[in-house]
Amino acid sequence: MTELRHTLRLDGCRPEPLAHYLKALAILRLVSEQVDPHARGAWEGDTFVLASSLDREGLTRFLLDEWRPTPVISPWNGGSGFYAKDNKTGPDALTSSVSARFERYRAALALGRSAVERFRLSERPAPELKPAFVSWLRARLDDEALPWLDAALTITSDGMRFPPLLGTGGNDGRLDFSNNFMQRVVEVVGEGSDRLRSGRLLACALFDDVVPQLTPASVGQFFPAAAGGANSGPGFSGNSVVNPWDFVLMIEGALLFCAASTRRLDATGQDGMVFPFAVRAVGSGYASAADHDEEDSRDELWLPLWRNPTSLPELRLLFGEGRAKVGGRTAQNAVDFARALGELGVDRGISAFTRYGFHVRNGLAVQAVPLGRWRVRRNMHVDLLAPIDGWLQRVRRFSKDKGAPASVARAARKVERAILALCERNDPTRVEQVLIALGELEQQLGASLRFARDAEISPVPWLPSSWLEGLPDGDPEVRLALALASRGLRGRLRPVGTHMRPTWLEASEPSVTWTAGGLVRNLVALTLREDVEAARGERTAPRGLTGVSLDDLASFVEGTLDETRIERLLHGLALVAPAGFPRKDPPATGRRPPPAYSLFALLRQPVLEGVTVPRAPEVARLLAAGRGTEASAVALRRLHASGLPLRTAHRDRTAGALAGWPVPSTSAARLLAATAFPLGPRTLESLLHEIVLMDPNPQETAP
Amino acid sequence: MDFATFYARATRSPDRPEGCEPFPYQVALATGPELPDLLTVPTGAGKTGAVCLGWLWRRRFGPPEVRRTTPRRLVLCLPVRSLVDQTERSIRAWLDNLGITDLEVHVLQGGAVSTTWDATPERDAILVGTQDQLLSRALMRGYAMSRFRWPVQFAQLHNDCLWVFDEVQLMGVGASTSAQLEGLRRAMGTARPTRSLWMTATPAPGALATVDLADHPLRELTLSPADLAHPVLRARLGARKMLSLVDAPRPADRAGVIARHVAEGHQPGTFTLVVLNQVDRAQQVFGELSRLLPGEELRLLHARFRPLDRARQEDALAPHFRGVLVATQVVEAGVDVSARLLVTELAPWSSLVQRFGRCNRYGEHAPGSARVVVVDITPEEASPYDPTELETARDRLGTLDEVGPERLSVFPPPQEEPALPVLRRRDLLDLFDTEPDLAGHHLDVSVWIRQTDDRDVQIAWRELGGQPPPANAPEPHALELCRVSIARAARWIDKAALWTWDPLDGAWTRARRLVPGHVYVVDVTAGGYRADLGFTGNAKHVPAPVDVPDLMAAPQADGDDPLSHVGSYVSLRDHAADVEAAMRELESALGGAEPWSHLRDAALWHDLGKVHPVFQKMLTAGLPEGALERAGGPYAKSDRRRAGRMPRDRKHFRHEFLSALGWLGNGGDDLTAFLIAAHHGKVRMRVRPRPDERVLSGRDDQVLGVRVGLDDDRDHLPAVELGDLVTRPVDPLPQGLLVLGGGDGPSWSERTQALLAQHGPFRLAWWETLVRIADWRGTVRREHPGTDMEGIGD
Repeated sequence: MTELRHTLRLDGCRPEPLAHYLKALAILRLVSEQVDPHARGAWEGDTFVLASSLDREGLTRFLLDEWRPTPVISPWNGGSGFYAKDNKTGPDALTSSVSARFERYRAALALGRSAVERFRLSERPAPELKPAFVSWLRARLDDEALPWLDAALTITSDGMRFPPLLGTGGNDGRLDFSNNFMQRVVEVVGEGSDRLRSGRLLACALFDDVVPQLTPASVGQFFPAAAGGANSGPGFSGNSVVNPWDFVLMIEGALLFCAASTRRLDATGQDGMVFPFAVRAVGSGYASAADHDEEDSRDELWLPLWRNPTSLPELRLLFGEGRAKVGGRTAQNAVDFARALGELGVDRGISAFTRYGFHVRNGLAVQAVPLGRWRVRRNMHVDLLAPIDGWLQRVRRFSKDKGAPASVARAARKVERAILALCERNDPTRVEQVLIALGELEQQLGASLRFARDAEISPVPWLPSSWLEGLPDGDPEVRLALALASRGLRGRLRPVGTHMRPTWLEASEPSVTWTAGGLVRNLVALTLREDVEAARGERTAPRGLTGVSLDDLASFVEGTLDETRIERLLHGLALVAPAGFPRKDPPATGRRPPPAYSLFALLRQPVLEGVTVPRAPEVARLLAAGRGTEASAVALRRLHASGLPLRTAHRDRTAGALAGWPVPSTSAARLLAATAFPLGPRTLESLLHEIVLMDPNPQETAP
Repeated sequence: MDFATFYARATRSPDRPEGCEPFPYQVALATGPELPDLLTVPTGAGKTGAVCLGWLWRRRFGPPEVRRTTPRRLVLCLPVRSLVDQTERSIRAWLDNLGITDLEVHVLQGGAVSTTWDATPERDAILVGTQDQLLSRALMRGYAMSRFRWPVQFAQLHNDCLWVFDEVQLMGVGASTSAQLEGLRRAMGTARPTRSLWMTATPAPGALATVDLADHPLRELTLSPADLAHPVLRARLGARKMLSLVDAPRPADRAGVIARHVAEGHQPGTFTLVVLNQVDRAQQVFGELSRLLPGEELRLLHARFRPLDRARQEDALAPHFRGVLVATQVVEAGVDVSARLLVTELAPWSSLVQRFGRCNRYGEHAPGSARVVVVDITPEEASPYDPTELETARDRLGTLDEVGPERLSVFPPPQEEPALPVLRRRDLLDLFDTEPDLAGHHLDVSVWIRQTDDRDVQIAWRELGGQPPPANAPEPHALELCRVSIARAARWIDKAALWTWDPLDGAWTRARRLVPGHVYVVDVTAGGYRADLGFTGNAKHVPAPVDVPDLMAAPQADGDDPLSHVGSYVSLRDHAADVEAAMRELESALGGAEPWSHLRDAALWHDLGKVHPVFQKMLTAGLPEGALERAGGPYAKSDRRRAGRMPRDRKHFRHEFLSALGWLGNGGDDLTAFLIAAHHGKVRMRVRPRPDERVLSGRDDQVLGVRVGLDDDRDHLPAVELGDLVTRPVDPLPQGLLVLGGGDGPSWSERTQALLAQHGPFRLAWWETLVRIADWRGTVRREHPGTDMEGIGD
């Protein structure tokens, strides 16, 4: 490498739009292949920089005077210039040309024509003939003409596959890219082209110089801003207007996206995603995301930006393989890809990816829409998804089946979106959203047991307790949900057996108490059920490691919290095994719930101060029925009868038969619900102090 | 000794103690100035003998220049398994007769794959195998072998080989691949002369005119007038086979009618062949014949058998079998049998020609006594064939009263094109990279090896007692499996449970639908299979499960290092010297213009990375305090007993990668660096962290167990003695190597891509292999001085 090196900033080559990204790849590829094998390219900020033997003038002269266009033909498409009704200006001009620049092109066109003859076609091959037709061509095309074919389509054991980048085999709706390419090639470097004008257009394409007059042509999905329509610019209507060099170089750049054999033949790729950096779309992670984007869009592309000057052979390897890896497997959809960035499951040296969706936005035309820039960096929470990866994959697979309930499919999509958001930024609310979405998904599966069983989708495997650490810690809703979840309520929420590995139970499982009625009603129902089970001696309710503060309980009793959030979080947190919850017993500072709560809460403790408190199911029933005052009287009597020395003030109330605290009927159920939250020993003691005389005094205990 | 004497000696047999005289074309092949590319000779004219003995003559007895340019390895590639045994038997007999003992014959076919042939590249050898086994190896994705050894066998199948493809017309896409490989070898060059010879009975050079071979004119050798005048050949080519046609019976009577024709025409003490187009019809005819011909030897052969059951039927293919063989198309493929009576269903012309070839093959039956009966079929029963193809065949048969080779030669061979898909240069170059496979992907190269019947599933019958297979049940072994078409399997199975292994869940799950190519386990009580009939779909046929011996050793994991543990502790210094010496011996045995100095450097430096303290600690973990060995080192090998394990965070440590970094850090060149890195087949074209490596090590800069970062905990290399050489210390390691675009120099990928472009895959793999073989030998030398080279390897 003794010759002079030039470093050339190509301001016309940028990560967005897609056409401009591809242009960068084209320049590097063509210069490496046709001028300087040691050429290198890198992304500096948002500009592509070419290091080669060419300076600005040299690059311009090369493209205008020497560049040999890569043969791009698609005789498998209608409109490709091989059939009677097609526009043939491009192919005819190339065929009749005697320029050595187009020699390879002429050979490819001739082969295309002999393929059409061999298969006796008068119009594009029928779908069932297409694989044989394409395979015949692939067997014979010149090595240099193969990349286009391999980039445009691939034949797999279950039919043809098309990459998102090149539509359905090198066309977009009625626009055939190859035919257009030929026309534009003729326009910019064909015999009789206007060299001066072409040079100015080229300067604009490469260096972002001012645009001279443009050509009407259809650019398709690569360059939506230029794709015509009402707002595409002053003075233009109808046809899209585009710099022919942009189109030509865009196609030359797209050729780098031909999958390597090692990618195309990978039998482990379950979903058959065989194209480089292409993954299934997930309609989220960008502002205008909507459910229908997922259905109408094709796959996505994640395009790498790298910072070190890199040679073509190495980039070929990168693009040929075009994988990101998550948990050791190839990323299949956008969520996987985003996770791979957090796991650093991409080649070292790639700093970021531009994500592109392909959306049907106006009628049939497909547009490549940039969906944001994703940096490659470690994201610890993404690692937490590893234990449920296999499960998620299975749900993903089956929730797309025809027979899958819509509710499950919806919930599954929500999980993916939440994960995607978390990959984008690791913050506590996003961790919370993932948990909530997982809880909801299990809830929906639990409601569609037949489907879950048929698809052999188990309940969510236990999540590691490190999930608990990422949650927003300043919110009472989170603290209350954590406390409830620490009681191990999963089997109350849905028919899940939680012994060792979570398994589905019968839908009619009586221990499930949770319904759609809201948090308070559900906690009341839970409490009543626990009383029934205790009365039958079936089991005693677990108490939970994570105690709540009286302050938070006071808010709960007042009804000022977002209870929907508590409930949704509970569904998610229930997926963490109870043993992993933190032991908590917050100090009793700040506000307290009304004393009636203390009374009812104490009565639900099996042992107080060494005294076994008898069960008082009627108290709960009275509360549930809104008869709070009666309930408090019964409760006081119960406590008294068990021999606990009540404070004088309370003792008096036990005297009169119907006395007790006045408890408004509207808050009775809520008070009962509040007793469902676990309490730490210190908190319990503080409640006890409130009701019971803790320094036993013989006088006071006397009746 | 001249070739005729040699040939006669080789072909001696009890029937013919004086041996055979070679046909003129066989002499031409053995003694001509150059080997042909195409050998077009009718079936039964001794093609195998021509190439095997011709090669042997040229390699061992020809003029010095011919000997020198004749490849060391003869690779016989055959389209079907049944031909392999037959060919191997012939070759062994010839070698026995010739008293040649220093030439090994290795067989490579499914279920019996020789693994020892690849350690001795300087010896002459004959490999006989199926196209599946051989072509998969030539595509760097050998079936039924260690992934890490792929490059070794790839190298030795593309260097110093004479490939002979027999019955090319039956190879389908394998023929295209063979042509492309030949064309690509010519274009990209090999280290050692390698060439191909295609043999066929029907000339179809069009099938070989693939894009990279079409420009090379192929020299064809065919029968000369002298051959045609030769009495033996004249008898074979003039063999007469009287034809009679039978109108299509009603479908319900079909099996009975065919069976009666067989029973009436069969003469005890002779061989009768019956060929049906479908398995169930073959089973029915077989059933009818069991009644009609009690006491007669009856065999049934088709593709719906488990391997061992099929092998029991295949004795019918032995030369001395007398009785009736009922078969499907499986016997079309070049099987060397000769029936007196052939009864066949109407089939497409090309199939019929193959079937006719199995009757009176050698002209051994008197004129008029060898007979062919073709039973017509109705268009409704045409499946699996196209009725219009049958129409053509019917028309042609209508003009014939006998079907000997001479009579058939009037019909022109079809204009053939290469079968699709065709392997392209970029495909082969991609396949040279084994990294995706090492990273857990599985590449399926079968599209270039054989057209597979995609509509088949494979079934294993096991005793499950109505339960799912236990979680630890092994995946089905090849010997347990029977191929069944999806349609038939679906009809049969209906209610019974099919179990399939779900690698995603790591559990056996009940199959919800049948997927082509997948493997299923079913309870024996579901029935559907009988050992003597194959798959029947009849629930009353309850098979015994196959007892699978534990044939497969536990597969080697990526992190394993079996070669690092031998009988005693060996220092790095000594081992480096041993391997370098082994390389020098290879050099003198092989000669030639290899880059020997690079190869010697690679041999000397290959284990440098073992000096890493973690590796040394692992080697000596079990040594007691004060053991003599504790004072020595650094070691290249432990004594096996007293080694420990690599710690979890270094689970993926690859010493050869560190060796290569050390070599580059000492200012070494890229080729040698590649050869060093590749010496276990685990670090080759690309270097990437293994999937769980970042998690296990908690470091982003650790790649293959080597820490290339710049913090205090980084890895580095001290000065080390390797043989007589002392290396310079390297600190820090060249780390930019691992980043896209490189850093202080080109990246690893860029370097290896440049090597591949410069030397091509065939040379690069060959040199890679020489280093590995030198390593094996250097290792064995210390452990068992004077041991044989076979069966060793990493």
